[in-house]
Amino acid sequence: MVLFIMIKKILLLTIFILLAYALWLSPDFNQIAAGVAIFLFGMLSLEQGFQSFTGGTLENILSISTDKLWKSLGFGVISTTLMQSSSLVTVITISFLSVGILDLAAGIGIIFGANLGTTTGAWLIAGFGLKVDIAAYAMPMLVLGILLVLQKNKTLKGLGAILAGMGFLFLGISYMKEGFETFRETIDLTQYALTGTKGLLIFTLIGIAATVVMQSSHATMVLIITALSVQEITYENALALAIGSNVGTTITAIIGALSASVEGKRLAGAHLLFNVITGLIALLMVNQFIVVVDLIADAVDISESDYTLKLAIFHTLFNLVGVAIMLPFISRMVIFLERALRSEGIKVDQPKYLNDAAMAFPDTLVSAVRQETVRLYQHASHIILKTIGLSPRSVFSEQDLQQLIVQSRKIPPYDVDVAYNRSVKGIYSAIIAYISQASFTWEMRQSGSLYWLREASRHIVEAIKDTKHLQKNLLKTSFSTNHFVTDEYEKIRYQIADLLRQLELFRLQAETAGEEIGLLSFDVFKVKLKEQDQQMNASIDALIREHKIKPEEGTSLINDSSYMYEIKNHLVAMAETVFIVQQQNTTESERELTLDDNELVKVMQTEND
Amino acid sequence: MGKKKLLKKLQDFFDADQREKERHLSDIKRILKKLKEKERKLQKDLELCGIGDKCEALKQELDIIYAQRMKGVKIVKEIKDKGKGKT
Repeated sequence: MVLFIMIKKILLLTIFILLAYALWLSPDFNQIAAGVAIFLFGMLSLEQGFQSFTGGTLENILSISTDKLWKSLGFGVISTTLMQSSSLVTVITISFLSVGILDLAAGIGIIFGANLGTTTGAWLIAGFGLKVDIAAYAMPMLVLGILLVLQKNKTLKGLGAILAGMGFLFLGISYMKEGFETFRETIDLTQYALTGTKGLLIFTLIGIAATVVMQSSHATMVLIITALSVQEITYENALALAIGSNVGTTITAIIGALSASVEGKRLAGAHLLFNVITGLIALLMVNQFIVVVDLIADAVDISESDYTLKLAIFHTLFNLVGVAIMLPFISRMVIFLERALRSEGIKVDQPKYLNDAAMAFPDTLVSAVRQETVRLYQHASHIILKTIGLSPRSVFSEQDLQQLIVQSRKIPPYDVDVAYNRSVKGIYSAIIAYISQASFTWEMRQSGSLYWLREASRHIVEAIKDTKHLQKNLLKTSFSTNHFVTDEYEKIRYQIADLLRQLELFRLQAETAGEEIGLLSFDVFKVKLKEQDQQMNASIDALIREHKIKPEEGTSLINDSSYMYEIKNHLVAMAETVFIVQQQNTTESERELTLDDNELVKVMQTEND
Repeated sequence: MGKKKLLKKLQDFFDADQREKERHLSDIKRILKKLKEKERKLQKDLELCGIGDKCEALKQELDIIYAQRMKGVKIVKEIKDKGKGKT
């Protein structure tokens, strides 16, 4: 990973220097490069715009349109055609796959579809972009788009980003077109044209490299089409470049999958496999494809010399052939990828304090189990915070929690199972085994403590399980455009993070200063949890009653607020045992004075009266 | 030391149950004392805090401590009653 980062840095520096030199050398190249930059900026703006609309709609469509393969495929085609960004579709697919909303076969179907959908870009550029004065459309789009971007309303802002994005795309294309036209007058690139297999392979490699650098096959295709339109490159070389761009585009998914779960990696693997195989088919059968393209062009009245449209046909055709050939093998592909990319051999965390030497001394043993349980809790709190999209370091600092929540609205997918197996399961099992080994029939005092500590470990594990249940909707709604829904989920995240912060403060205070009658202090936490639960339920009821959220969203929220309540209860129950170190008898007497559920409710009623 | 007193002391010494009760009683009384101290401290804080969320939290904590103290007083009473042979 370190090597990869280093290579990336060196590569970026080299490209930077080369580009700077080229830009200084040629003003025409300047214009083409500016065109590519504006085009890429347009793509970013377009993605951002669509992202603000993905909430709810895209997710709902995704969940109902991926139960059958043809539906997944159709979803990939349509969503990519509409958004003109296969990267956005791929990234969303990876995040849904990571949390189990999609299975790998459906994910692969979407990726196949996205590959077809992305070919519509070439049609738009070749059929529309080059035929009209595209810059004339770009200007009003930019003006109106930016005006909308400045609005506070999220929908208008999103629309503005899309409009401005399209404006930038058009402007970028126009710059590239003009750049190539003047470039042609000074340098004739066709003198570097290569024919035969050598040309095919070299230009495919150039296509791959250009797409890897720009991380957008769309941008490469625009460059190819504009250069082809002014005959700066030959038709054959343009075909090879298109094949290369199709292979190079997998880099976005590969980079995205580096930090994703194994499912994400498998999907990126499927993407790479599909594009490489399709590329190979196109390379091997390029002559046959050229013949078929000519036939199609002839059939649909495309002029024989209109190479840009013929390139668009070629682009669609070889992707279509790739899909047709590989569609029946999806299930085999799934098996292959599951075998090739197994869940990583997880390095399981081992207990640190449980050793055989402590077994002989009951008090030491209880202390060892307590310390290990604190460690288990620390690992669990990290998992819980990462699942709700927060950094443990920030939550346990003095930063404003509300601000932290707002800053991290988009929750990255986090593999709770992997984290549980790595940081919790090994320690939890060791604690249980250690307690079971200890024979305390002769010493009831320590036996009681160990019983409570075992219960505390169980509470920690239960809290993680409830967090996993909560994760699904949390991820789903982080894209939602209904702010009433996102506000409620932000409350959920805030309350969990706030409790973890309070508990950590309590633990540190108890550790350093010691906490007399500490056990009784937890009744304050318990009343607070009950109040928060009541307030949240009342708030959800009101939102449903006032039609601010759909009943389905309401029921999800009710379930998730109940998971949150359970998580918090488990954490407080754990802390009652683990954070309080006192004489056994005193703790037992304190336990007698802690308030039960009815008594807690009575306290709350007294306050309300 | 009189015979009666000596006998009582001996009886107490062997009466583990009684000893446990006394220890229990002293534990609860000690906790009640701590709770009372905490209650006084919180009351002072409340007088200084004025109005706001912090005050509400203090009031709530005071209510909880009061409920805990009442529960403790009840337990003390029960232990004492049992000692006197009341049911």
